[in-house]
Amino acid sequence: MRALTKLATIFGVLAVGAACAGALLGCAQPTSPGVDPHALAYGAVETLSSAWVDSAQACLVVSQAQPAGQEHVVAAQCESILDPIRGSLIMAGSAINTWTVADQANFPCLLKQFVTDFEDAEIALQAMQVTLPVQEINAGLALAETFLPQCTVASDAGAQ
Amino acid sequence: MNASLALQLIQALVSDFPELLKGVKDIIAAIEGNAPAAATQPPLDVAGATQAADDALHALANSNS
Repeated sequence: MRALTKLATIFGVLAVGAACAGALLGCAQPTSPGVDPHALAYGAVETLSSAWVDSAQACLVVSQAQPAGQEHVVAAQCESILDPIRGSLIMAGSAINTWTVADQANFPCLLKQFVTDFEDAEIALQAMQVTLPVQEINAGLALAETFLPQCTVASDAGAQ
Repeated sequence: MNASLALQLIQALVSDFPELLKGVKDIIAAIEGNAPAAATQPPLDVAGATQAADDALHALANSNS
């Protein structure tokens, strides 16, 4: 977790913002050094994957703290919030592994789908008093943000 | 701030934290445009990485059914 604090700082620094994001993806600011968007996408999804796992574990902790016989009720809530959004993260990860031209075009919208769902899940989990890995989540979302502007209606072929 | 300066700051920050998330190393590789590193990345197994937590959710949610 200490590292995550530093990580959050890193992403604060990395908040070169949309202009830099454009450069990272090769669509603007050609003066910036070359960046491998695949590796950046890999890091984003890997971080969000860790954030999903830690959120699920945090929700399980809340479930297990319930009175005997009631654990499953809260766990079912956790499941209903987190399980459906896992699929969109897996799809984004799959796109990274194949990374065809079509995958690269679809990836921003796949990621946007997960980010939108995850932000909704965060609200629901916080309402359940789940202590979320906020720094980890924010780091993942900050990385994802570098891709999201690339998701337009025209290229929204992969997300629902 | 340009990307070069950002890279220098990141490298300085992570130097104190060798245990930093692997994702940060990937990001640094990305900013450096380190194609060989990217090419040798193992497949990203999101399903596998999230499976245990998902199984635990299912198991506890269904523990009374």
